[in-house]
Amino acid sequence: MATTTVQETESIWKGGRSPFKVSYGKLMMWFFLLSDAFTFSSLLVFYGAARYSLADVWPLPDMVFNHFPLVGHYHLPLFFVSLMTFILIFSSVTMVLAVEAGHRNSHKEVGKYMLWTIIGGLAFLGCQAWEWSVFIGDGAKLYSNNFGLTADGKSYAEGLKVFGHYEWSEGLRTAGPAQFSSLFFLVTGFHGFHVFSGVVLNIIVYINVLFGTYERRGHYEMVEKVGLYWHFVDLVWVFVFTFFYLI
Amino acid sequence: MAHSNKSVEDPEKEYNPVNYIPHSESHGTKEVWMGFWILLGLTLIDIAFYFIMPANMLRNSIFIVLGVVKAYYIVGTFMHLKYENNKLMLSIIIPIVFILWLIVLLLYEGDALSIME
Amino acid sequence: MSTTSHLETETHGHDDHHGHEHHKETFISKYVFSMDHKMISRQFLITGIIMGCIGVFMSILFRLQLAWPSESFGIIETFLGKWGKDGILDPNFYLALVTIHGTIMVFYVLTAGLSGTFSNLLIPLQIGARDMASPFMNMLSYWFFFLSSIVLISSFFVETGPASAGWTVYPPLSALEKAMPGSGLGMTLWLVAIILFIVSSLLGGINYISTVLNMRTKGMSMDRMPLTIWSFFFTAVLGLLSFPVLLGAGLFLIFDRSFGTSFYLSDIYLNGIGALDNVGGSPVLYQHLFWFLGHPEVYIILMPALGITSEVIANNARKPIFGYTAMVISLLGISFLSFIVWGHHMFITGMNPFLGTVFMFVTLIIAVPSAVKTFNYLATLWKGNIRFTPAMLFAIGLVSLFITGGLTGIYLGNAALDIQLHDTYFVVAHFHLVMGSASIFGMFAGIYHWYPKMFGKMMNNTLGYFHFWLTFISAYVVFFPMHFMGLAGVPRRYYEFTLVPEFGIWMDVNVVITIAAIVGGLAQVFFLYNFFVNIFKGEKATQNPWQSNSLEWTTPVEHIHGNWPGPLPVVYRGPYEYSVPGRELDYYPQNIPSDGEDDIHHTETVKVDEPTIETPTTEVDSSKVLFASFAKLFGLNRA
Repeated sequence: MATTTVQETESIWKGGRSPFKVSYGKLMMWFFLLSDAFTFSSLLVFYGAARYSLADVWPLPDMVFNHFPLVGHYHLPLFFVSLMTFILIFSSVTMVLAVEAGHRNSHKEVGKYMLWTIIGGLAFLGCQAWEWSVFIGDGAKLYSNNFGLTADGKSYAEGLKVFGHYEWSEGLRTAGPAQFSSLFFLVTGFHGFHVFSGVVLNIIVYINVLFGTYERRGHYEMVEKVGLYWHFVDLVWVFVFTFFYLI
Repeated sequence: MAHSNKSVEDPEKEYNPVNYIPHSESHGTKEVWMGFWILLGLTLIDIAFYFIMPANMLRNSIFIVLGVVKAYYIVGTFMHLKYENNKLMLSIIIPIVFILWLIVLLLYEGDALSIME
Repeated sequence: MSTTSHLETETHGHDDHHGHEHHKETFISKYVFSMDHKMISRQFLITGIIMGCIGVFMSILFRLQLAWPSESFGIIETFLGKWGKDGILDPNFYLALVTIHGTIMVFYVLTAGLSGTFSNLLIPLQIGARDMASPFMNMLSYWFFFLSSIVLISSFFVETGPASAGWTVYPPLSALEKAMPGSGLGMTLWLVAIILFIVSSLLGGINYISTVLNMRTKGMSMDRMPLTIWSFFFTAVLGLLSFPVLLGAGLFLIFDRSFGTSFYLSDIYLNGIGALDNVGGSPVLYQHLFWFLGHPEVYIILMPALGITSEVIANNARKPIFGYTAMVISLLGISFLSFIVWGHHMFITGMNPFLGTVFMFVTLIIAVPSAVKTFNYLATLWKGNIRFTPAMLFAIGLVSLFITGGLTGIYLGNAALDIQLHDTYFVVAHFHLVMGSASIFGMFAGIYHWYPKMFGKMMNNTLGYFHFWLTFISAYVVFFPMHFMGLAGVPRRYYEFTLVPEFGIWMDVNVVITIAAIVGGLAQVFFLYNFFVNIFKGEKATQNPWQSNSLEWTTPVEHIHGNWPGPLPVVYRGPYEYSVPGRELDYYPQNIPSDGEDDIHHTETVKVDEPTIETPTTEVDSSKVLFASFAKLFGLNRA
């Protein structure tokens, strides 16, 4: 340490350059996302611990989230949420395409793909609103729900066939653990809030693209940065989908 | 300001951290679509397992593993982390061990809580 | 975006930049919504000092109650009004004072006031950058912190009083509005304040990290960064990864409090209300999430102080820091370990006992990097040519307090011993010494050392000595006896002990502690006078008053936006090259090329009474000095 030589300054860490070869803005976005990942992890880990401690009485998600718009009471677990997943992944793809177009400085294409991404985000939010409204209509409250199953309810649920018609009568259901609905609202709500902010950011960037701000600036890094945020939202959804619907 | 900041490519010469934007090359759209089909396929595999397997720990583990694979494609391909400097990659990925530690410990704890009830 | 272009014009046109800047700046843009990191650091420091005064004053109010239970003090009624009727402190408000004292000192003084101030001041200056990566977000970081302080202080003015559940706000006490007055609106305001604080810390943290990574000047490789920068860097990483988990914990708590959920609540029985409706929640989960933040938080507080100490000790001992690499690695080790040990705060909460063993094991490993740091400080002092400036005294005081308080950490990290010691005054003594006092001493060391850089004026040394000795002695007199109280089982957070005859023998000790606390509190008046008066009336500082190596002393005394009037300095060596053999000056600034002998800008003359040449240690490798000394000590030296 005492006598540092000139030779060792060959390394990327020597200063006067960016060791990761990224701009400060992108670096900040990455570290923000890392931080946000910890927020979501804390929520999901809490969910895991709560569910683990209430494993015996936890409602069956596929008996709760089995609706599909406009088809009536048919047992269709996972179909709607798969559609939501598809929408979000697809909007992620259009986002990457926008970023890629930005690398080629193709003003028109960036605008086009940004618009598709915004539409995808809004569609996802719409789906979530529908999902919530059905969930609430079924009797979910923030602090209570009726998705627990009685002994009869369990055997009824086992007999249900996919695509089959179902009717939950009063005697089949009972109060479920409050955490089931509160965690669903809190975690998907927090995720939905992130999607919402992502859409707002995308709209701001889209307007800037239309006004040619980035074309004048010579690079589309801002698109890349909101893109990172948007993919992160998608990433979180992968885990929300896994833990709230699949497992 | 009309001149492109992309001229700041050689960091040896005129590195200015405030407006330094590294030149980023387009990797084409082929891999993006590849990523999309893989993600879609994995989701469909998820759904297939959901319907053909009874709910048990094995099925849950499969879902979690598939979730991690999906995360790999989202972060690697969509978020472009595969092509970033690998030190940036490490500095993003290493902190995740703390989350894993939190998960392991809180699942233990959740188990203990259920014994108490 | 306007900030970017603003800085661009600045970095491109240095020559006209002086006159150019001045008429553009209004009072608001220069002093209030400033985006200059030096001004933001002063804002952080002064806000932190004001919060610190409030926090210390509250501690004195509740110490009065502990020493002379239920006796009347006019001062209590004057300040607390209805909560101090007839001069007697209200029991509920005692808890509120304890809570807000903890919150203010931990978050507002020692997190924002210490790391916020010095990260802002030193990161750009010591790595050779013109400002933070994003000056605008840096400004937001301060204003979120300011807003958060206002919200927290405002909770004193709501009818039910401020939060009273302890600074850790454990549910169910904090979650149930009817449990006590302090769990009402005051608790909501506490949570709002902390969420604002988290935002502030996040904005600051990502800024510090990307500045350190991306904006180092030419030649400032990572192994030439001063240890202050390393410690701020790791501190920022800790804050970045741990505060979001507190956000999660806080969200659940807000939902439990305001929306009737049962995340932390179960069907417990509440006096006067009956059993609650809630089912299935567990407060232990809150503690897990809270301490996932809470333990790194301890190091968020301590590490900047350790970094400042490294710098001050090396500078004032006129020696290279002993074991630079070991210092960095132990900072890294502490940062890593701090994330996996949180459960040692929870040994007796009903946590899974198996986890208790795991946590005990990893906790005790922290002793290793901490000891490495301590011994490196001592080895740096060893045979140094020590200048006892006030900053140096405070830095040495930190080492002393760090050892004293750290040793008791080994007791408390032990799951079996913790059964006896948990929630006693032993814990209070431990964390006040190792985290509270030690970090405050690091903060004072930093203030005394960098005051000339912050305000361009010198502080008065004599007042500094008075301040140090009174503070140092009173810190020990206050906290040392608490160990014995704790071993005897005296619990913390009790309003009075008159109902427990066994604790009667500690009444006299409590009086001694309170008197020492008052003396220690009054000692800060020396500091406040010294600090605030010298901003205006102090002797003008020279450019490099401490003959230091690091880059911040190459900037002009007058602050300018952009830090260096000309091009950025280039770095040629590490920051701790003091007493280099064969060199006339006993320091070797980082920006001086090796061949150009002393083309240092002669803005200051080396003081005559500085023994710059006949320094006792001329060896650069301080480890050799240490080993040689040990060899001599043990008679191993055959020569």
